Amino acid sequence: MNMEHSNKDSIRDAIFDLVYDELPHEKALETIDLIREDKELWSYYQQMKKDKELLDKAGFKEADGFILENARGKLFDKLASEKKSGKIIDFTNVVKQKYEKGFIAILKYAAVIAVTIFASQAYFTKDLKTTLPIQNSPFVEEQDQINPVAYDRYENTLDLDRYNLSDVNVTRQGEEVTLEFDVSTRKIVKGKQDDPNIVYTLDQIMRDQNNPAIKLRTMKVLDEPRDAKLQNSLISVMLNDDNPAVRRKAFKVLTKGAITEDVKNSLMKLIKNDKDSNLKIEALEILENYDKSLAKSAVSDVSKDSELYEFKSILNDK
Amino acid sequence: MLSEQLLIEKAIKGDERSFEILIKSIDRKILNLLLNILKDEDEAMDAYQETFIKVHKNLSKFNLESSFFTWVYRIAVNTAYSDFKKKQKVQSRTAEFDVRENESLLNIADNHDGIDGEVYDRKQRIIESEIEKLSYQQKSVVYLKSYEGKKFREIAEILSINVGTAKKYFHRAVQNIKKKVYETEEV
Repeated sequence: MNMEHSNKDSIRDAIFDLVYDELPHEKALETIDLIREDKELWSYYQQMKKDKELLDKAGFKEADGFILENARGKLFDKLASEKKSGKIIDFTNVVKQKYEKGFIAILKYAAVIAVTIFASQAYFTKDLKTTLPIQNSPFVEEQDQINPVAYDRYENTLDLDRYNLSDVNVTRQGEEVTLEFDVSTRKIVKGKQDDPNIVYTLDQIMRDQNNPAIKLRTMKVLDEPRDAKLQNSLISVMLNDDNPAVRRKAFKVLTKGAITEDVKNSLMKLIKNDKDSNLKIEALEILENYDKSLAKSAVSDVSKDSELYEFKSILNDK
Repeated sequence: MLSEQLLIEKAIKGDERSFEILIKSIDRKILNLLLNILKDEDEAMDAYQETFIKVHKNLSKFNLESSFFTWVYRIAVNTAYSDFKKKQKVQSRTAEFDVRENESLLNIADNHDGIDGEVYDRKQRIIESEIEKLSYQQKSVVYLKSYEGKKFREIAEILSINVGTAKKYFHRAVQNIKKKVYETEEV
């Protein structure tokens, strides 16, 4: 009797494994043969299958592409900054271990000398700049306001390579945009979005940066771009960036307000070539609001991604 | 296409590109796991970051003969567990939190409605709500088994428990959910 009982228990265990795909094929067939003969075990098996179906209704969440790209952007940013600070720690540790106490004093003197050189260099650079035929430096110390000047005059004076753009912090308060470069330089560009300094800097970031997180952060503060050059940079990002979240964000910025001919044409290119079918559909919907005939000609490019547009495409053919 | 082992070896030597490829091959699954266990997007994002920073820092300690995937999963589950414990402490202090939790549960249900346009039936809500009430261990086993379709052997390895315990957690979780569903159906 006990033997029979324990045998049934072990068969129940096997049923559990069978239902949850834990058994190798041969063993699974063997178990099915065993339980088929026994009414009680068979109903136990059926019940367990029902229980399993309950969990199929669990509706687990899945991360969408945007969240994933955002998480990746933040992670690689963080790793880059940790790597940078890690190197400094490694260096000081090596030095510390090698030379112990006596060398710390020398290091302190070296630090004082370095700060003095850095400060005097900054002072002379500032002097040099005032000799140039430009009245306002685009890089000013915190809280200083930049006055708008002619765009072209700034083109050759900004050298963003001098600054670590991976740490740039872009914020916006009302109409005012602030771009704060890495903390060590304490350089800030501040002004309205249309301010030539701001436009130039934003444009540089959009054109030169490879880091998707920085591009996303920068575009976050943008309204519809009124400057043609910045608009062109955004169009290029929307059409060519490798990162789908960045392309989508550029699309959102470019279509915030009334769209220009250039944007319309770039939307056509996006609809034709982008890999993100949802973005293509959104672009087509925007285009439909502005230029019905252009949108009509683009429907066929979206039809393979969407049942609705497949239907529209068929109607167009008729 | 480089093999996983080669990528790991290169990443250990400091090749950032190899590390990036390695991460991108598994991070979607890790983020899904964290989203479902922590039920909060921001917390999941933080735990994601923390997980991969730990992976980066400890990569040289990884035993090349074991599964990289399982190793990262284990780090993610443990990272999420510390966040989960912190969250539990806060929850136990404020009754208000429970109300918000229930609201967020309803929000999840509503969002699901919006995304899929499917009828989000009562039974499903009960099941999700019961999963939410499970212990951290039970919840992890249920997710890894039902969503990821992992074998109990792998789940046990990820959670550093034995296979029997993993099965027991799962079985109990199913029993709890089932009980609640049938009780409600009777009403």
